[in-house]
Amino acid sequence: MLEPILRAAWEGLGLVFSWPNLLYPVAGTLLSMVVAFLPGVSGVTLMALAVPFTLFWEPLPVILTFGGLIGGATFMGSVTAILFNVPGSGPSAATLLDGYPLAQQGQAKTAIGCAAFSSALGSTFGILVLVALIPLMHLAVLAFGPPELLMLLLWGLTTIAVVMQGSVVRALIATGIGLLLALVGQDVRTGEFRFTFGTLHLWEGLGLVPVMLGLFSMAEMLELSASGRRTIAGRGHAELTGSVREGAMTVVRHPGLFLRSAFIGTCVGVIPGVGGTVASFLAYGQAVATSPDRERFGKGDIRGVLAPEAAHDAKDGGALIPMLTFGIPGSDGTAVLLGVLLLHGLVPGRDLLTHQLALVFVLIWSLFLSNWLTSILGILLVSPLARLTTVRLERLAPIGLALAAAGAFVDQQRIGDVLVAVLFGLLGYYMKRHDWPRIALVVAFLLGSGIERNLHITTTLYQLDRLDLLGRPLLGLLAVLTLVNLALPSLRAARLSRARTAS
Amino acid sequence: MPNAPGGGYDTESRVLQPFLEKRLGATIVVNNQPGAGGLIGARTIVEARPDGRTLGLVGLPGFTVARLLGQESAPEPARDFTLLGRMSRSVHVWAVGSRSPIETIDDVLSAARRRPLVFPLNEITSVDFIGIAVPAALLGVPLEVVPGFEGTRAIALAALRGDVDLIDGNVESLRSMLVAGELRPLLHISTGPVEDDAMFTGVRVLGGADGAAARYAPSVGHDVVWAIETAASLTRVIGSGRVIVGPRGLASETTECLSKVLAEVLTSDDLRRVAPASLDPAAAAVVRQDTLALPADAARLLPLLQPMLRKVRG
Repeated sequence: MLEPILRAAWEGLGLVFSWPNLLYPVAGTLLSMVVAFLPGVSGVTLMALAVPFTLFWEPLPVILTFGGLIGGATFMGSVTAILFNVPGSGPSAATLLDGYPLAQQGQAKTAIGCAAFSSALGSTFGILVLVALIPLMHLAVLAFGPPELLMLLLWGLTTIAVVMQGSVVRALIATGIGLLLALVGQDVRTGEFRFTFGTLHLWEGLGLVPVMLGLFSMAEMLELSASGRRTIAGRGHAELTGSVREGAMTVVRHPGLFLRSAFIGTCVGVIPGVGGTVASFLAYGQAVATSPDRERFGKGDIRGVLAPEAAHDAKDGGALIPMLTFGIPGSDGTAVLLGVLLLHGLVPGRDLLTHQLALVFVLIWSLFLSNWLTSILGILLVSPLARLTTVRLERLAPIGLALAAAGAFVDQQRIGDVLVAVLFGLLGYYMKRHDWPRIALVVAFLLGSGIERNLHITTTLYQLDRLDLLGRPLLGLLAVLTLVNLALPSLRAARLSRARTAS
Repeated sequence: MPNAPGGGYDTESRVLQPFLEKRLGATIVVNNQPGAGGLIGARTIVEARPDGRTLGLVGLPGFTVARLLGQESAPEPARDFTLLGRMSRSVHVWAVGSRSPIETIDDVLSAARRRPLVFPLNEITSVDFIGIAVPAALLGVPLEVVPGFEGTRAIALAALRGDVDLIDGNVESLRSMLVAGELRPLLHISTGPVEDDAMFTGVRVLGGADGAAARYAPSVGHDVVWAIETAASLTRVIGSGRVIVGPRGLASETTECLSKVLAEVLTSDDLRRVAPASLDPAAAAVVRQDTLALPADAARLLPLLQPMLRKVRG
């Protein structure tokens, strides 16, 4: 069973790393990186724009190019999240929680270095799992039904309890608001509309990207402008501390955290429809939960950059699993890729995974190449990029606000989303000034609609006697993880008070 | 383009783009305006100046079902658009997971005698709702629907996992899983024998004189002719397909020119060579009469949907 896979892997490797084939993934990666830095075109839009251009190509260069386009899109979003609190896309949002405070402390280089290394290694981990799972892909995809998905999302929700510091009541209120905001839009059960105020704009609910750009990026620019601080880093370029090497070494120093985060990312990738944003927030929550000294998280802890970056790049490999097995894309990028594969006569399923396995490996290797290339180029650009944190705020803040507004528009190309971002910017500014936990609101909002959807499906199937909950071991495992998260704050408090009494 | 990049609509429009550009000598920009089930993009088309510079690729079944179930803001295709050419028709199919004990439509009926069959569903206002509820009413299959699944992919996985009994879906969305044998087709929601698709050899058809609706009508207590006509209406509503439209009030010479060019492009061999399997040159000409008859076809289905709607909405 193993031999044909290894042979196909070798053949695929030869096809990617040969002249002139190598040009395609490299060009795809560079294009995708440039576009990710420009407001106005998202990575998925770039892929869609490439469809007519590649229509008449042979399948091989098409796969090579799209592997590059997928791989190149993710990393630059994290760079803007670290430097300016502006996540380039949903999955980069967890990175800003600790990445941006690091930039504020003048350590942007360390944060970017850690993000680059962690994401490249994370994607390699995802790809290794993908290769290892080729014979078992069916089982992996089918393991997650609506009850498992519900429990996974509830586990995600309980990370709020772990991450939160400060007032419990405020955290609960912010969580409640987040869940309420997630209810905006169509009721999955009855098809009726809730809280849409008669506007078409809210029919599908509030968009995650404009909400986050508002709550974090716009709020930050407002706060910075009001603070009297002169630059993000609060110091000149010569005084920037930290280094790429230091950031990269973090990954080496925390192998357990890296592996757990990459594993979470890959698993989430395997489940269609969950997405990279959930993966990175789950990994972040896990990082806090498993660290004995959690007080520094949210204030610039490098482990808070490592975990989400490893997870969201590991997700790419995982997301290819349902796409290649069942033709079910696990992310927006793989959805375009699926359309392209079908256009070129490549139908996902057993046939593709046996008779055309070499082409599958071409995709895998070009994704691998692209992920590493992005990180290496990112590292080369660290110095000039980090310098941006020393630009005077009266010049930077208007640009930051404009970038956030453009990002809100680009996501779905809807002008109403800019208004949503501005409103959430004001809310975020208020919450930051008065010490309300924005992360609780965001996590609850992010997970709310999935929880509602899967809660409804699970309870209905259970009522119809279609679910044997006891016969689903994965469900039990996720339930235990959820309970541990809920119990952790009390356990920590108990341990702390014991330690105090002892001393 | 009322849909997001990456879906079938988006791919079809981007495949069409270079061919149309070449033939018209014009630059075409695909502008994705997703949201509200395609209504946001549709409204942009409806409200555009009718000068031939704004065209769109829209799904008629979705708008027709939305209007039928009370969404007044959904456009009425024949009234609100100028119809220019049909990109593809859709056909739905009932299918089960490959490990399901149900193998034929007779098995469906005998299983349904023991307990209602469970179907997954996107939303109660989606096209798959009528694809499930109407045939079930025609065949006398008691059913329970579970709305909330996110797209055809989640629905297909629910069938593979055995969480549900049967699914309804667009043949093109399910094609790769049908070809691979992951899903087994049971009922082809159409009116005639399926001759051009080997995948459906031996699969029961819903409509037509020899179809399942006519065969089971007496045992369910339906009039045979009525059952055949209802199945035909359902097939027409679902099959109204993806249509290239302009705003209403397009000048007749512009309409004629664009329709002619589209007919040529959509039936050309060059396009066929690179186009997705869903593109059907036979569907290219929009039969305006078909679209005009959509509201009447849809209205015929409404009484069959009411019991399930009442149950779900309470």
